[in-house]
Amino acid sequence: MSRRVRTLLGVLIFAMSIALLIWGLAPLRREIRIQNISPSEMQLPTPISLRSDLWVAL
Amino acid sequence: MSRIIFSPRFTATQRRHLTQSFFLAALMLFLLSCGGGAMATEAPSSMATSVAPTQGVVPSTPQPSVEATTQPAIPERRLLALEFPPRIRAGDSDIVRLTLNMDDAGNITPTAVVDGNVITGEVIEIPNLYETHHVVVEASFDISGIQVSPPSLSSQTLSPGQSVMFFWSIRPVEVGVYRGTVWLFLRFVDKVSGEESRRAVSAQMVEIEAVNLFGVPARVVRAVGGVGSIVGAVIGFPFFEDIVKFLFKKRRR
Repeated sequence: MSRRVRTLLGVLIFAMSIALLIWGLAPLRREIRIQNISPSEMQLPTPISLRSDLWVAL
Repeated sequence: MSRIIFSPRFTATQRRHLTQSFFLAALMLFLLSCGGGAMATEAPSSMATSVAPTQGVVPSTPQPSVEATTQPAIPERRLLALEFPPRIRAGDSDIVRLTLNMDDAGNITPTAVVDGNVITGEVIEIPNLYETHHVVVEASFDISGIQVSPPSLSSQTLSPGQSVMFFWSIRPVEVGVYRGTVWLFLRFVDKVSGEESRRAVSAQMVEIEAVNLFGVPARVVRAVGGVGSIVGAVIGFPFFEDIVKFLFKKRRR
């Protein structure tokens, strides 16, 4: 009887410990965002573009 | 011929007929030549009329788009990839990565490799400013409550056919949800005048959740799990106890 209880307790501790190890060592999920950059966003900012923005605003 | 025409055997009527037919033939030749000339002049006029409408259509096309494509450009294509952990164990550290990839031919291919899977995106041309400007890529990760290294702005020179990669090491100390922004700037430095201009290309919001297990830090959880698995194995599996005893005895000898 005592041997059965001991085995049961040991398996329980083992299972819980393995669960803790899995939680602590599991690789984290990584999120990846892909963003396209339009040519206009990569252009040199010029006074002409600023003026056009002003014209649009007006 | 002249001998025949002016032959005394030709009568005056015959000579008149011959002269009339000669003038008639000359007139027909003249008319033919005029008609051919008219046809020759008509052909260009028809071509002109066919060209004229296309020339008239060209200004009606959107002129700004044509100017935009004729801006200084190099055959490079770029894609921005941001990789970060949305959830992290409090006390642990992880990496945030920002990448601009290019292919071998000098074109930037929008690819990102994640766990062996290649993600490919749309290709986009960017203006060629390398010949007139030094192009510097600057990036920063602004987030409060999390230790970030490097904390300040990082910069790298962007060259044709070269990819750029930024890494930040992050480590949340306490549990919580942290929000920050990953910035990407382009700085153009004129090679002649040295004039600088800066442009924000991308600002991406990032949300990172730091978690723990019932208030226990991850480091402690791992230690308890390691010790508990050994103890549980010894208690639960009698043969394992014998193996452990055997190993300890062998080590003592």
